[in-house]
Amino acid sequence: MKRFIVKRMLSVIPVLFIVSIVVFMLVHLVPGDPAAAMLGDMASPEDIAALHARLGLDRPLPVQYGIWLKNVLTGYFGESVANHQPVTGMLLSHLEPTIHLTLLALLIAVMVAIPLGMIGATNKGTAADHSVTVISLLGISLPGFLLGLFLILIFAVKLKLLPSSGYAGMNAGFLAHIKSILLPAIALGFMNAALMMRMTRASMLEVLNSDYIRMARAKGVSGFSVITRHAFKNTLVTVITVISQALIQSLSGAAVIESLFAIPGLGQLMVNSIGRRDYYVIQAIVLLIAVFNVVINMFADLLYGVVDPRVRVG
Amino acid sequence: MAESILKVKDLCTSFNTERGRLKAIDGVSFEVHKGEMLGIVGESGCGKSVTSQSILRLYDEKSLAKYTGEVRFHDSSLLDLPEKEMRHVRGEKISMIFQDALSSLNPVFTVGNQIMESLLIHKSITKKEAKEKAIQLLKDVGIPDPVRRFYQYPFELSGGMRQRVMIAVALACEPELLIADEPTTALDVTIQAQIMDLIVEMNKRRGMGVMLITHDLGVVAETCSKVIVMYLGQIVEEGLVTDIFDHPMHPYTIGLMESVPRLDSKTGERLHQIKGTVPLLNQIPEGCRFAPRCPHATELCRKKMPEFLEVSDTQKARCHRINEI
Ligand SMILES: Nc1ncnc2c1ncn2[C@@H]1O[C@H](COP(=O)(O)OP(=O)(O)O)[C@@H](O)[C@H]1O
Ligand code: SF4
Ligand SMILES: [Mg+2]
Repeated sequence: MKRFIVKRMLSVIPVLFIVSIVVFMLVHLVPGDPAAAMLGDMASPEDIAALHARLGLDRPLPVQYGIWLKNVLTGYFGESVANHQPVTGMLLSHLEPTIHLTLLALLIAVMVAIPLGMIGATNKGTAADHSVTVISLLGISLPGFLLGLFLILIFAVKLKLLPSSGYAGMNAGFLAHIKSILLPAIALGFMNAALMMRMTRASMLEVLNSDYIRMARAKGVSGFSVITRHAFKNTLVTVITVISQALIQSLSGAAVIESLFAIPGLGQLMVNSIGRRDYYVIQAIVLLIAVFNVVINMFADLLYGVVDPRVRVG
Repeated sequence: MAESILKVKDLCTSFNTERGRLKAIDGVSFEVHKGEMLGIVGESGCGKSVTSQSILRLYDEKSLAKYTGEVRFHDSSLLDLPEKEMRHVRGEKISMIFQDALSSLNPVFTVGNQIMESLLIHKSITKKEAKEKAIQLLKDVGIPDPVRRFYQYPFELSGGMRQRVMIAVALACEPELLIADEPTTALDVTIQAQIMDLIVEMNKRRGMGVMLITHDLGVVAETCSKVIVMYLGQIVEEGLVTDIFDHPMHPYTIGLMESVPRLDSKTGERLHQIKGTVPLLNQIPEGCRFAPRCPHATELCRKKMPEFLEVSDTQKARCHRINEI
């Protein structure tokens, strides 16, 4: 098991290396002196020269990459071209809303989708199963922003239960915080829930038809235990996959929902930065999402190993 | 004669399928006595597995299967037992082993865990006692180094070893009846013989009844005392091993016998095969079900289903032309 963990963790290093090179090159295609652009018209030539040196812009490309990598690893992503603030600070202030929104969306999706998928599979062909299928089809075909609009209309405009937009941070109180991200989280979570439900149902059905389930029944294992013990552990690999994909999906797909609900998250920062051609902010967000992606996949891989002994040796 | 433990009478099992409700077995009756080894033979698709799994009611009754007839185990009528009581028959009184041990053992639980599970469900013992018993069982079924094997997963064992583990799971609660559905089909020849030896030994030593489903007639001849021949959901012939092997009456049984490769056959001699294949359940012929493939079929055969009649005290067959063939 230890060897498996170490192996998997080491295997992300080359991936991260390639990702970093691609992201580094991204900005290098931009014309002009980045240092001057970052500091703006009001900066003195000395300041520009200093940043020029800090970014290593007059050095050969590989050396520049090394300097950039060192900067990134120590948390320095350059300055924003638009407002001449350090990119790191901008990222940090936009990170919390996105992470909390994503996690709440995922929690909602998991709590709805996994039980419903299992109910669908264990009651195949019944009304309950058909309802599950219809819900998941709806979730897949209904765009998130449309669902978001419906939710705003019903819960904010009509029932006045929840705010229609805006973000309340943790310092505004836990309840106010959750209330402010609940509707966007439902809008974001529903689509993932739909996919999760389908995958859980399909995988559960396959497992329930397997020989070891028949064997478990022949041993006298109760119906409940067959599902929760024998079948569930075998569907976990699929469940881990869909959860990790959903996490990646909502991290990178939150932009539309964040815009709709005026949540000042990474997605919104990304959209605004693209509008302002704020390359260094874009670069930092792309890098961040790519790294999240790699790390989430690595964790999913590690969890496969925990669940399935065959993965550990293979 | 020893006491009868299982009595199946007029058992019918039908399945809900896309093509409607189809009867997979139709009026099957037989008996198993204490310590007896009963062989069930027939080509693939003749209903051997459905018969055996219907006894334990392993098919889902909510949406898939419907059973009629009677399955009597000692004094209880299994088809009428509530699910909760049926669970105490499965694995405790009647156990089952299957063809493919790799797919029949749960891949994500250890071998020991899967043996202990049976014990913990049916016996009131502690985990520690269950573990000791499980290790003893592994030893009993001939697995060397049982303590190490206890902690391993099925994929870490060889095919023969896995089959032994499945037998250990089935024998854990010392059942009165073991249903073995093609227990050696997936194994190579030497391992096959070892596994059969093990089953025979358990049958002799524990006085456990065995229903052995196989299409290896040689194994049946060596191990069983009685044989049932199934074709398309019905029993077409039954008798003592000596009856069936020395003077088979039904043309289907005769065909099966002739398709067995003989040790004394000259090399290159072609094996006799029954022509055609077993029809699907939605294409069951009228009259004698074997008629389309039978070399002796007549008009009568195609119109009227033959009755299952006694040929001697010990042998019965379902054929219109028994006396002529
Ligand atoms: N779960 C099922 N649903 C529908 N038909 C089935 C099912 N299981 C078996 N059958 C059908 O029942 C017949 C007998 O099958 P089976 O008992 O598996 O044959 P075998 O003698 O080879 O064990 C076959 O025609 C098979 O297609
Ligand atoms: S009844 Fe007729 S068709 Fe059927 S087995 Fe006998 S001879 Fe053949
Ligand atoms: Mg079979």
